[in-house]
Amino acid sequence: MSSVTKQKREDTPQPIWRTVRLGGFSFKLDRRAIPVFVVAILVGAGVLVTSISYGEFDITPVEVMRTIFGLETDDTRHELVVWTFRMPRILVAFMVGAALAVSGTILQGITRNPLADPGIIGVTSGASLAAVAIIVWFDVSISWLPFAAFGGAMVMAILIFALAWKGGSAPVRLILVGVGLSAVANALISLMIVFGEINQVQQATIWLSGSVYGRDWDHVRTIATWIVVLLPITILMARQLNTLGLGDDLAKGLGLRVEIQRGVLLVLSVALAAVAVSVSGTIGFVGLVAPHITRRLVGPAHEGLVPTAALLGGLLLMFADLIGRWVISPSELPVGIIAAIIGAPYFAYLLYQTRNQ
Amino acid sequence: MIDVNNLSLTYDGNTLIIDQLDLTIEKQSVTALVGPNGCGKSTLLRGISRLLKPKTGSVYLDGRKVHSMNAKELAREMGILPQSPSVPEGLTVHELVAQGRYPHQSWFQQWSGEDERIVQDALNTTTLTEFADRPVDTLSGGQRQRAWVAMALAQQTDVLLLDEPTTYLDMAYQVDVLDLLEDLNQDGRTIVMVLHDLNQAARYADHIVALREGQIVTQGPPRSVMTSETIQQVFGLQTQIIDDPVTGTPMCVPLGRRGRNAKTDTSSQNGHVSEEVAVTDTA
Repeated sequence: MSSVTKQKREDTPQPIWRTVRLGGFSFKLDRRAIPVFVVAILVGAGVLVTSISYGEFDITPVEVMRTIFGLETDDTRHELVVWTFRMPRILVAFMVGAALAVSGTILQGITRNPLADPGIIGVTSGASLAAVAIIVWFDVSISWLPFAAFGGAMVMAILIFALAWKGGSAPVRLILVGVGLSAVANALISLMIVFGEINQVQQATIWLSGSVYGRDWDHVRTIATWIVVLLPITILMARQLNTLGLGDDLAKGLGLRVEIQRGVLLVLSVALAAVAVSVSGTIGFVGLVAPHITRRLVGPAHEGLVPTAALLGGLLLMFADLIGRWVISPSELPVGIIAAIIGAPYFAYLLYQTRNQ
Repeated sequence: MIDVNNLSLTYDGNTLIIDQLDLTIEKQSVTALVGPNGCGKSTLLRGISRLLKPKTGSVYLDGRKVHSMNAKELAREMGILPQSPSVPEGLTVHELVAQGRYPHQSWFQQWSGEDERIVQDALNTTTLTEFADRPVDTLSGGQRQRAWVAMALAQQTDVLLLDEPTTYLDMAYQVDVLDLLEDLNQDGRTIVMVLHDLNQAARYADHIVALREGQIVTQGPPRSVMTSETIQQVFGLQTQIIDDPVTGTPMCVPLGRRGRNAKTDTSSQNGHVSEEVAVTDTA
């Protein structure tokens, strides 16, 4: 009996994904993604509670939980510390990580290059350039920074696409042009820092190092709104990302309008990177590392890859933020620096691996 | 039926790779495009599949202009397999084959039971069912090529265009893939492929199109195209044509330097070989 069922199973192998059906809507999800996703949520919840409980004013994890769920606690200050001081910055860290990870996943998908990420291709440099220019040259309110960063990132993306265009946007040209423009933007940033007023320069430098210090619920709302809109669109475009991964010729042969879809996906990626940079400043490597780790865990199909990368990217940055607050406490290191300390060696490792292929 | 009408193709806008070419490909036939390196055979295939925009002329699929058809609509009728395509690391066979369903899907209907059934059929036809969950990059060259063909099958097109489907494969796999394509043709599909190997073309194609410098030198059934005169003209190579001992189709054997030396050795013996060679020389 058992051998019969086994035989049957071999004849019709279970597909590697689960099909999600909701009325007329159907969607496939990689089976490998589901356990990884569940584990990441549990770990994420653990890091969240640890991160909230840790600080100059220590709160036990149990008290944190009680505060989060609105139960009575033995100290009235808990509410203030948990909800006003720590929760927003941690959520911002999580969402910045998620946005950067999805942005990187998209870029790696459309360029078919594992080393692409919003930092390397110059999108974040564009955002930084605009923000630093605002800080150093214009004496305007800091609340303009997100808009400037967003504009800078978009202008950069348009420039990259336009300069890489040669009867089509070959992935390699996108990356090379991006790297080139990124260098130009960084040079301009250095120039502004060298010639700027010392006070503004200091402010700009802090912004450039990428931090979630002092972020409040307004920041949470800004980035959450964008993520709620952009992430589902990206997940729905998983099929297009998968098909682009087979190369332009095959994708065209399968009926994909390659240039249009790549353009739309690039805009999605840039928007996600821009919104992340606009609330936290430049944070590198998350967009590179998170998609990579995720691909190892759940495979290259974007249906599972995109949401899982978002989760792991958020987790990574939330963790980096915790480390940053812990390592030289009571002072703190900006989360961008911790991300770089974790990410840079991984990047070197990736480069080494690519070289060996 | 595919009608190629006054088609000129170019990559840089000036140099014509294909120059005002006319060609008709019959329904349910196997057509092989042959010719020396750089003759434009792959380019012609790209032009037919609209991977390349024509400089002049057009391609018609059952009377409709290929280059103005809706992208997905065309993809439901014409499949293309480029030469040695790359595959993302870790992508499984099943995932790859499922990509063939892309032109049949929409934003809301991303994966139906019908899609799954067709993918299983494609895996069955290509005998890849047991490898369904294996990453494509861990397969042998032959299995990988089968996986690509399976993807094209899942696309469910009546026309299948293939650019050198046997290149880089061991001989056993070459035969394997060509036999598979023959089966697909028997099921009613029109197959157009670029082939490097003339003997394979003669064995598997109903119609051979010989190209040189962007133009058709000659075309027709293997028997009429595979003559030593034509091969001399197209490839600039002296050959001897014999019958394939297995299929009876024409088969060419290049002479090369050894062949030419052998000619002088054997001419005194008045053997079969020298007779054939003499014909070649006068051509």
